[in-house]
Parts: sequence; C-alpha cells; structure tokens
Amino acid sequence: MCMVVMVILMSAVSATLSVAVSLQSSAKSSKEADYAVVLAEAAVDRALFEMQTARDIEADGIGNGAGALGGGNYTVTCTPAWGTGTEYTLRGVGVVGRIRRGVQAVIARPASNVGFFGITNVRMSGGLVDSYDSSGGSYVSQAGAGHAGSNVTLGSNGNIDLSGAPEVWGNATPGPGYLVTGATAGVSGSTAPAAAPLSFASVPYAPPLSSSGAFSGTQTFTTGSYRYSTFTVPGGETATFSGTVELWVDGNFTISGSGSGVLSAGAKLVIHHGSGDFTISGGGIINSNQSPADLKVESSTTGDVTVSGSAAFFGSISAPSAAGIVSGSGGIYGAFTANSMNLSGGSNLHFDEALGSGGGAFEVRVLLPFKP
Amino acid sequence: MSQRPVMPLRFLMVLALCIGAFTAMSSAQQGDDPTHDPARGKIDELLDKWRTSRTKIPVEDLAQALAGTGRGSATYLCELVDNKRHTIPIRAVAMAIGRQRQQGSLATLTRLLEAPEVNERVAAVEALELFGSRECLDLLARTLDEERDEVASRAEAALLVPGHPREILVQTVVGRLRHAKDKGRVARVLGRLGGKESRAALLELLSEPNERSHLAALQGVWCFEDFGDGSVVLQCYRDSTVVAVKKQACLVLGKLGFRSAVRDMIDALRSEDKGLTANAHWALGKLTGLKLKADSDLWEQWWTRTGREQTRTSGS
Repeated sequence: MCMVVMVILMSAVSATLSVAVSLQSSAKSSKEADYAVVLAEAAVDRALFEMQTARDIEADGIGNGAGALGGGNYTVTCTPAWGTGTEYTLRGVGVVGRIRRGVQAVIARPASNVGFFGITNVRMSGGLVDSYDSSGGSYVSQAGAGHAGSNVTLGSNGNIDLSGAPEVWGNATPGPGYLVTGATAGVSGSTAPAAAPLSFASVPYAPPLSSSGAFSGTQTFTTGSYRYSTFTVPGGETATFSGTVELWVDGNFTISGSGSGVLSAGAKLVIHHGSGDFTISGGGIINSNQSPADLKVESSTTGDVTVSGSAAFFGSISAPSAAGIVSGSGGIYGAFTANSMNLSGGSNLHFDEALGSGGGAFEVRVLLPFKP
Repeated sequence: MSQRPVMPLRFLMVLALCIGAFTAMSSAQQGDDPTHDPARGKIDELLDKWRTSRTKIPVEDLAQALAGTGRGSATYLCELVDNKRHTIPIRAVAMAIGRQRQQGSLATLTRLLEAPEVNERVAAVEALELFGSRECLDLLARTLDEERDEVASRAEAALLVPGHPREILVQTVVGRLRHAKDKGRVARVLGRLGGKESRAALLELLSEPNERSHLAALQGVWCFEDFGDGSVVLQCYRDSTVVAVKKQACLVLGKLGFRSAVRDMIDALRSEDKGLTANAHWALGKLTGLKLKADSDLWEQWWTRTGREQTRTSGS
C-alpha cells in the first residue's frame, strides 16, 4: 500500500517537474523566437540604410549583409541586385540557437517625376517649369507652343507660393495639409497635397583624399579625384573637366563674372561640396553634351546653393540642407532638390525625365514574416 | 573781551553755498548733454564689440543687451536707425526697439517699414511683432500686401504669433480684407485665426462676383480648422466657370469631408482638364476613404452599387 502511494506520489512529482521543465523550455524558445524576429528586422533595416545612403558597408553589394549581434546571427539579401531595377526584395533572417525567423520587405524606388523640390517650402516668381527627355533629343526639339512636356512635379513638404504669372506644366504638389498659394491658375496639373512627406537622405561629405588647399584660376582636370579647401573660377578663367572627374570642395565653390567651367564632350563630373556657399553664375558650367546625367552636384552645406546668370545649367543638384536659389535667364535642365527653393527673375526649370528617380524617395510596400 | 569773528564765518558760508550751487548746475548740464548719457555709452560699447568681434554675436543676444541699456536708450536707438542704418546691425537694433515698446519709437519703425532694402523691412516687421500694440497690428496687416514675399510672409507669421489680443487682431485683419491687393494672404490669416467673425468675412468674400476673391476665400477656408458646412463651397464649385477656382474648391470640399460633393467630384473625373481631374480624384479619396484609381467608370460602379446609398445615409 505504501509502495503504491509512493509510486503515485513520485509519478506526480515527476509529471510536475516535466511540465515545469517543458514550460521553461517553451518560454526560452519563445524568447529566442522573438529575438530572432528582432534580428531579422534589424537586418532589413541595415539593408535599407545602405540603400538610402548608397553605401556598401561590407563590400558585399548594397542591400546584402551578415553579422552577429547579442548572441544571435543575421543575414540579409537583396534581389535583384541593387541598381538593376525599381523594386527590390529584402529578406532578412535572424538565427538564435536553433530558432530561425525571417522578415521580408519589398522596397520600391519608382521612377519619380519630382524634378524640383524645396523640402520646407518653394517660392516661385514668374518663370516656367516643364519636362523633356534628354535621351530623345534636345529640349528645343521637344518644345512647342512655349513649353515641352508636362511630366514633372514641382514639390515641397510645405507650402508652394506662386507669384507673378508662373507656368507649371505639370503638378505643383505641396506637403500634406499644405497649399499651393497665390497665382495657381498657371498650374496645368494637380495642386493637391501629397499623401505623405518625402524623405531625403542627407548628403554625406567624406572626401577620401587630402586637400590641395585653395584653388583659383585656369586648369584642366583629367580623369581622377581632386580635393580643395575652396574652388574659385573668377572672371577670365576657365576650369575644364575632361574624362571622369570627382571634385571634392570643402568650403566655398564659386564660378562668377566671365569665369566658366567646361565639361568636355564625353566627360562626367561629380562635385561633392562640404560647407559654405555654392555659386554658379557668370559663364556657368558649359555641359558640352547637354546631358544632365553627366553633371552631378551633391552638397551637404547648410548655406546657399545658387544658380544664376544667363548660362544654362545642364545637371542635377542634390542639396537637401541648403537654401536653393535660382534666378536669371539661363535656367536649369535636369533636377534640383534643396531645403528651401527660391525661384525668381522668371527662372525656367526643365526636368529631364531621363534622370528617372529625381525624388530619391523610397517606399516600403510590403513587410511580412516568412519561414526561412 | 575780544569780538567774535562773524565776518569770516559768514563769508565761508556764502562761499560754500556758491560752490554747492555751481556743482549742482554743472551736474544738471552734464545730465542734459547726450554725450554723457550712460545708456548711449553702453549702446556704443555694445556696437563697437559687435564691429570688432571675430565671432558673430547672435542677433537675439545683442538685441536683448541693447534693450537692457536703460532709460533713454530708445531715443538713441531710433536715432541710429534713422541716421546710421548702414553702420549698425539693423535687425538687432530694431528688435531692441521693439522690446522696449516706447510709444515714441513707432515713427522710426514705420519709416523702417518703407526702407529700400528688403532685410531692413523684415527687421521692421520683427520689431513690430515684439512691440505688439494695436498700431503695430495695423501696420503688420498692411504689410500683408508687401511686394516682396519675404516681407509679406514674415508679417503673416508675425500676426499669427500667440499673445496678440485676438478680438482686436481679427477686427484689424478683417478691416484690411476690403483694401488688400493680395486678398489670398489676408484670407489665409483669417482662416488660421478662426472664429465667427473670420468665418463671416470669408463667406462674404466667397460671395463676391470675381474669381480672385473666390480663390482667396477658398484658401482661407482651407486654413480654417473647423469651418463646418461646405454647402457654400459646393455652390461656388458648381457656379464657377474658372478651372482654377473649381480645382481649389475640390481640395476644400475634400478637406471639409463634405460628402454631398461626391457626385460632383465623380462627374469632374470626366473633365478634359487633367488638373481638375487630379484634384477631384484627391477629393474623392478624402470623402470616401477609398483608394480607387482616377477612373470615372470605376467610381460610377461604386456610386451605383453602394456610394449613392452611403452618401444619402451619412449626409455630410
């Protein structure tokens, strides 16, 4: 009898212990599973960071990565390879112990017609905004009745103020809750506010070479990278760029008076600008091919970025922290993004549709778990 | 017995009195002499420091220091603005005048508001904002018509700063509406101020028989936090033959959530004007919560199946 009771008691204790151990194991698995999901999400975030800053942190392709973090491991892959499409699938996998969890995100960077964007506000006095496609010929060949195409958006995350009698052959899109004010009759397309503000990655300034001091005068720059503390082309001087040139300028960049820059036929130029003011006026930069894709300005300044004068500017400017100022009769063929945009003196802005993602904004279209 | 020395004592007393009187007169003269005013001295010292300093002194800090230089400084600051504008940090000096709120300074600020340089006119607006008197509100309301957008928009912002006596502010701005060249800006200020009087002024503007007034009024209604019934806006949309007015009305109807406008918006999808179609589509999204494409057939199907009934039962 006692033996029976003891067996029953021991069975009960054993059962209780089993349940307790099982619960503990289950709790541990649950924690590990949660952490594995966190790792998978972190992997996708890291890939998205690489995409937004266009940086390949581990030289394994933008959007790909692997690593260890807090007792677990993660990997992330990007398909198709970055730069080959407009929609990408990021698959992040987190591994903790024997538990694997996956998170999948579909990221889109659609071809955008946001040609000219002032993040906080846009002021336009007179002038014209339209679009053309440089891959289909010159602007003049596509223009008729005073303008070319209307596949362009003049945008802002704030208000857009129009005065004088501007013509916007396309959309004028203010930020959510904001307005197009003033002379709105000249906008051919939508004036409805955007559903969500556009976000712009800051432009990093990290020159990979040491400075050669201040530049001022006439010189021909052949293929290669150059860095100066300031860059000035005053009256009577010419800076010629031939080949593929990368120019880093720490401080003020100025072309003025009868000074000019020349982008030779077939040349490509990227100007990285750090701080101070960036001014193109006077003779401007003559883009021999008139191909906006061949001239890029990327400025991280919080000062002024000014394009003025009678020389046309063929290129794209990304200056999301700067005050953008456009005036004069030369006009811009390409795209321009700045923190604020002041367009005066009847400036003409012609968005080049061949530039595609002028807005540079990413959309996360889908975010789902998956079983790796 | 010897005589008391009366004469020398009297002489000394008279001499002492004369010296005392002379000293008092000299001090009084020095007090009247502006070059000896301690406030001027402090102002000059601050401005010299500003001129010679290698690092920029923040405008706010300089303005505060100038404003705190004591009695009588307002007169000197006004003199500097009137006569030596180009040699002083105009923004800081104007702000100091604004902070001191001396009635006699208004004439200087009024003149500064008409200065040839844009930055000087902006400085005047900032000073008037700080001053905040009824006359200042009136001047700011007039400045809404400024040719240069930088000045007008600064005046707009100055009027909307909290702290102004609301009733007086609304009356001042409503009073400005009739004479304004840029009614849109005035209407937007009224919209942001809100209230019964602002609403009445905007409705009156909407009833005027010209498209510019309609556009201006619609911008004001857009800025209104709780305008209420959109029937007047819908009527304006239906009556107007101007595309710009119709486009603006679509946006306002969408923002107001005036569901009685749904049928009109669906009809607008068939317009030849792409801008009107786009704005009507945006409004439909707001009014119905649906994310259908800008396809008139698609919306007609929705209207036939469920939309008409939903709109009838929910009202606007």
